[in-house]
Amino acid sequence: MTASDQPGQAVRREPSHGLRMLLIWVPLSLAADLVIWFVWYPHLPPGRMTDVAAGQQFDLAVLAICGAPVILFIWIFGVYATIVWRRRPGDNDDGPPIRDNKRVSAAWIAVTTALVLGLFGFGTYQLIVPNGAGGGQGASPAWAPKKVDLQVQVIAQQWVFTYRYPQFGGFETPQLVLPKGSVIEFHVTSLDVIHSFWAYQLGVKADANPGVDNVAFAKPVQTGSVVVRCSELCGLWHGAMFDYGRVVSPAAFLKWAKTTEVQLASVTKILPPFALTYDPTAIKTLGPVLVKLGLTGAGGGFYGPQVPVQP
Amino acid sequence: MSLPARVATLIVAFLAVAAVVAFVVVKYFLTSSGPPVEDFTAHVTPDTGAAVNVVMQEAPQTTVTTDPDWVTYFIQNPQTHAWVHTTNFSVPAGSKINITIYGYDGCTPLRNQLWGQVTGTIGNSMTVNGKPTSLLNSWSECSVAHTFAIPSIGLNIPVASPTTFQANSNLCSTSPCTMSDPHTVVRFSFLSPRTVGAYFWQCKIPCGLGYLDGNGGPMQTIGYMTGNMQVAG
Repeated sequence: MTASDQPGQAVRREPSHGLRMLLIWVPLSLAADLVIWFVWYPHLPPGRMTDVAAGQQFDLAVLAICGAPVILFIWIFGVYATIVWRRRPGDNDDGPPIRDNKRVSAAWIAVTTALVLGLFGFGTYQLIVPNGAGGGQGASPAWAPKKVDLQVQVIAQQWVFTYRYPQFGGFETPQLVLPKGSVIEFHVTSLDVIHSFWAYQLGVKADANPGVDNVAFAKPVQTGSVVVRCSELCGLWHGAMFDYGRVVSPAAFLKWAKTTEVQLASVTKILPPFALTYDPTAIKTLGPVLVKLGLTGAGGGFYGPQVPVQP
Repeated sequence: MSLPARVATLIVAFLAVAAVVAFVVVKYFLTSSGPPVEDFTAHVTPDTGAAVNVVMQEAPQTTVTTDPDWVTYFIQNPQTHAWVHTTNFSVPAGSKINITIYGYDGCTPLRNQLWGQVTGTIGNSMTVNGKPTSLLNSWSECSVAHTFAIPSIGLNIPVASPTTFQANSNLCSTSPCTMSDPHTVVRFSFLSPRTVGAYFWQCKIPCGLGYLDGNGGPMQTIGYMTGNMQVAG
């Protein structure tokens, strides 16, 4: 028997806990979402250097805005329950019986289902727009821009990325330089093992597989520095497989590209013709001594499966 | 189970786990220091541009180890001039590093012809048997055996190979190789970074005999076809 059940004492009316929690939850959620949108969103990764990077930043902001009220609800409920429904000194009775509340249950299921399905639809749409959201789409991209201004081939190899510019004589360089305001079509491939081209500030991440042309798109809208990392464990020096690219003005890019094309002309001559993938195990133009030695290509042909020692 | 028995079991279990942890730490972290570091910093003041001479050789096999079919580099000890089976060396910061590589291994086409270009050296050039060279075509000629590249400072050297069929058919069979074996002599110079630290170097020809596409074994093992250049202040 509780104190309120004692004869002669007034029955204590239970307050509306739901309303109390709602009054705490609504302003806090509103404040959190405003902070996320106006303070955190502009600083969320990967920034706004390209259209796809800005899209990813927007996606993260939307997810955070949807997630914050849910997290706050759980925290508020936990803290409220701990404070208000804690056992007080001298209270040795059982708590009130727990009964199902169909309205609350239905509301919880409806809200969470709507949230999950809504984010599923939003996420799926955002993976497509704009132009595949910076992800590698394979050799035949389903979501391509109407017009491409510059093709850049990304060639991964242990443990460096090189970049080939087919519109400038097909020169190849370890430097990634891109013009602001141009739609870039990346063709990502590998000469040896599996790597992954992750140009963080560009919002581009595409696997580099040997013999595969993996296409991704991005349009730089800001100048600045870009960190490029391999994001696929690729051997002993995987951790050192990174470089720094640059987004520059169209005029500066044109000047760099033309100068580099001239500087690298002698080595460009001995590169294979530009192709979307390369097979280093079968070289077509081997010299006579190499042929006489029985070498057919760089790796594979020489140290092929006929060699008995295999890892 | 009685309380003393439970406590004893707990102590034994704890000691067993501690023993395994101690074994792993001692065995794999404290005692496996890797190949030795050849020191080229003695008597040289860093950041003065003073010259340091490093001599290396690449050999077609490693008969001094348990992996005799692995290709490897050796570094000559600056004091004794003995060949040491290591790929780690230390140089003073801000100095002119003169490297000589004796190339004893046969030719193999480069996976990427871009690495036939000499970059990062003084004058973007090297000498092969005394002849200035800035580019080697490893596809049309039997010309390159391995490369010596330090990507972080833009250094890339295609290490020349013996060029004839006869020389490539009679390569040195015991390592370290000697001057009587067919070889080329590659020389180049570069300025060591002013920033102290470890700069890894690597071969860019897939030369891991017996491993898939030549990418394993010596390509992935410090002491064979990759190592560290320690820059000391």
